[in-house]
Amino acid sequence: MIPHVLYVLAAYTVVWLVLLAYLFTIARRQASIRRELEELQRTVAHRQSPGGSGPPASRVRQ
Amino acid sequence: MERGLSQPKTGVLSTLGWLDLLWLLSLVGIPTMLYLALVWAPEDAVMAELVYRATGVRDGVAQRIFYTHVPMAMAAYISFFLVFLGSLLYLWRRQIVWDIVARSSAEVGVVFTTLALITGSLWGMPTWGAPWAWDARLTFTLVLWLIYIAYLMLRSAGGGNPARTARYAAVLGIVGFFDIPLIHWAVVIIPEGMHPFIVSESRASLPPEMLFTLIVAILTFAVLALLVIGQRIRLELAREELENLQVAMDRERSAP
Repeated sequence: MIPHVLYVLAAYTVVWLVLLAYLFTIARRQASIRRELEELQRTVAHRQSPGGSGPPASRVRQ
Repeated sequence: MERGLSQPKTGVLSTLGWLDLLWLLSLVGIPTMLYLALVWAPEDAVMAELVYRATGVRDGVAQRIFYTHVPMAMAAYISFFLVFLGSLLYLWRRQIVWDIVARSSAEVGVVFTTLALITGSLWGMPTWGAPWAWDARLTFTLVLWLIYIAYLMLRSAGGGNPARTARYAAVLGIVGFFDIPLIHWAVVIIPEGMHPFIVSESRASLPPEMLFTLIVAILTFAVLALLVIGQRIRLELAREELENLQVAMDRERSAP
């Protein structure tokens, strides 16, 4: 027979592992989006620079 | 706008400075709650008797799962209330920020409901001798979980019209919320179920130490739920900003 304390241990472990894993996936998705945003902003900045081929900032950021 | 939804009006949500406060409260609340639940609170004699009747073993330790199981359910209720509120406000104001609040809260609510069901099963095994019973409260909770799984599936299936998907999801988010009063009152309407009615309006049937631990645990997980929802909202706002920027750039590229 399984000692009851193991059920307690399992319940608390599952709760914290799942919550930590979920927070970790959110942080990873945030980091990935931040990277993409920075990349896009660099592209926009490059296009607006004197040598770049893009339109002025006021037209890109609507 | 091309995507069929109004631009995010982030307003109050744009700074999300309150997330730092929630992080701080969680850092204090989590160890406190764990100490109270696992060390300080006494083992329940009534629950030990129930366990003895079901399994023949006099052991009240499994009752400590209660301090994580009940707060999980409460955190899920808070999340689904925010889905309800966000959906109502989205249908009324048609501002995408309310849709973001609703869909972020739905995902978090499903996570907490899943954990409530798992911890409930882990508590049920030593207490009832079975991980599941078709008790009214359990069944309504399973229905709630299925409703919001359907909500998330609707969101991910999407289709070509985000505004229409958001509208349909808002209706489902509102309708689904009405399962929560059923879960709450299931133990009153159908009293022969497994769940006792432990805290009534007139008096608490728990000893003070256990009630105090339960309240601290509920507050801790409520803060944690709001924190996770805040992080999800921040993620969705960043994604929305990225998509808007990409759409604007594509438009510029295709412009003559």
